[in-house]
Amino acid sequence: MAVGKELLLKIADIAAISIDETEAEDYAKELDSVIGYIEQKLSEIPDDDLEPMEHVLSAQSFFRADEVTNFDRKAELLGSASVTKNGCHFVPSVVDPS
Amino acid sequence: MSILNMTIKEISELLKNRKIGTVELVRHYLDSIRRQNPSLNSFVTTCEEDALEASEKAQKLIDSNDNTSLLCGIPFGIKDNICVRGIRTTAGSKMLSDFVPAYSSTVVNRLVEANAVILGKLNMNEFSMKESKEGNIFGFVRNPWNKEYAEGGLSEGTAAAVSGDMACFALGSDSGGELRQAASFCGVVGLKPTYGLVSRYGLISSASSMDQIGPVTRSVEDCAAVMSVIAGQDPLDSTSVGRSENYLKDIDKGIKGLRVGVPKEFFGSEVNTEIKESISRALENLGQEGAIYKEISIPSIKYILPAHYIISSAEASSNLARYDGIRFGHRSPDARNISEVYRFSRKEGFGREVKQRILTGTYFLSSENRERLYYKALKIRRMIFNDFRKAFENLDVLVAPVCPEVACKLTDVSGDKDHLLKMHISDVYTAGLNLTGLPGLTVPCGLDKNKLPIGIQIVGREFSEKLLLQVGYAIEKTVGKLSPGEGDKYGI
Repeated sequence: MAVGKELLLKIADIAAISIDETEAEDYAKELDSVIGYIEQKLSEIPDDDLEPMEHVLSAQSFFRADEVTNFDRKAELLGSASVTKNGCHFVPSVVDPS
Repeated sequence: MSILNMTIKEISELLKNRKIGTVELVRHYLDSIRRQNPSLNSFVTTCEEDALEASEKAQKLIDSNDNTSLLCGIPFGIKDNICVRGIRTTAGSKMLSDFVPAYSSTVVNRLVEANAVILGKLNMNEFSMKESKEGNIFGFVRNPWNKEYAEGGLSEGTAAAVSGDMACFALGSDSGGELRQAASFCGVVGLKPTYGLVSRYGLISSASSMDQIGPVTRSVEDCAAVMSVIAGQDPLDSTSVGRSENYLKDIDKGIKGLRVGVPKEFFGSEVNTEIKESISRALENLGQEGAIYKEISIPSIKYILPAHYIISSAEASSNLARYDGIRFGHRSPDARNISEVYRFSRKEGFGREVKQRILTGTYFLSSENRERLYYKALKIRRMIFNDFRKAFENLDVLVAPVCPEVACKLTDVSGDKDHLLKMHISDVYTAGLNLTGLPGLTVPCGLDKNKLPIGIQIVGREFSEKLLLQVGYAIEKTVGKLSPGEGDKYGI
């Protein structure tokens, strides 16, 4: 399946990246060539019953004690944000007011 | 020999015998950075005041205590995707160009506790993704061996800082081989530890099931010394494993009876003849030391590239979703509503290649393609893992090139799309270890006709770092330490 501009714009929407039409063509072309190579390689391998391997660690995850600790660096953390107000992160209205 | 290209062990001895003070040592390195960095472009941030303060503290410790750590007073650099509290950490991206972390990574905390001295932060490709068109926001790093050359198109400041006499060692990260490749191109030692052996807390994620922090050093012993400090379980990283050791102990044990496998798939026609010859000589030397080597086959090696590309893109698209322009990172000044905050900030903050990888990863993870492409890649990952495991049933280590070519000219890198593809293809020698979690050590094993370094990669079972370092030590002993030698000009 060839990746066209329309599909690319849909993907960009899911990835929350604004992309204009000219860029979309460029990205679509590159994605198409990558997928072409990958699909060809993958088709060489029979679909056997191997267990998908998401993580290499077979051992159990390591848990730490569930203790309340205080990270007392609010000003430092807020300092990383571009816009703050009254000691809080500030964002435009999430709900459309109209 | 200059203080600027001595190993940690050599400098530590000078410090303990009061031949040099820690403050004087750090001043030499800061001077070297001022002189060399404008052309090498390795450091993106230096912390002079903090470094001098830390070195004074280290000197007091040395003056009052004979049992200080080997790293006490030793100056080092940190790749710019490893967080240090209060010091700008960019991951090479405009997205994080003014991000100052409120906490330090565990590796940095451990080194600071051992009283090593932070010199600054080191250049990198944006989120460790290879880039041919624009480079990253700080531009390309030059190779200290020949400033006309890149590190094979990478912008890893770690290896250039160590090789270029600007840091005694560096902390890098490896998601597809960038740490090992840069080390090989610059003639220094680099280790990608087993996944989980070194805490990733405070490392800016790219492909989190494959990312691993590791040391870049001037000698194998130095690598062992740094590993002995940074390895081990961390309550702040649930994937970390409590398997640390004293890696320096018995490093000179020798390699008598070592069983070495040479996978023929790693030595095809695409590998430069001089690299093959150099590795053959290293193998012969190992043979003389008592190792037994034989050719083997790992057929699934040819699927490393597609599997790694799919999984790393998918994980990057997921990990980079956190950059929403709100809590940290770039926020677009043009956004009028919450959706535009996300969409415009990400458009403006990420570079071309990173956006391409996010889009590619989103495609792989979409409901129509997940089973067909992403899960298939995870199955291939299992197949590669099983094949490596099988190879190790009768072998102790494998050897491989780090890259099929030595470093290329900078003029060959920029703007060339085909070059980017070539760079990704060259990942086949390194990315298999990121897929399987296995450790890999690269050690210099010679120079090509243009006097550019060639590296050999030694691969082991999970948590076999100690053995890898013993093998690396044996190779280093026959080859000797390679140095572009520029530091001698400024010797003390």
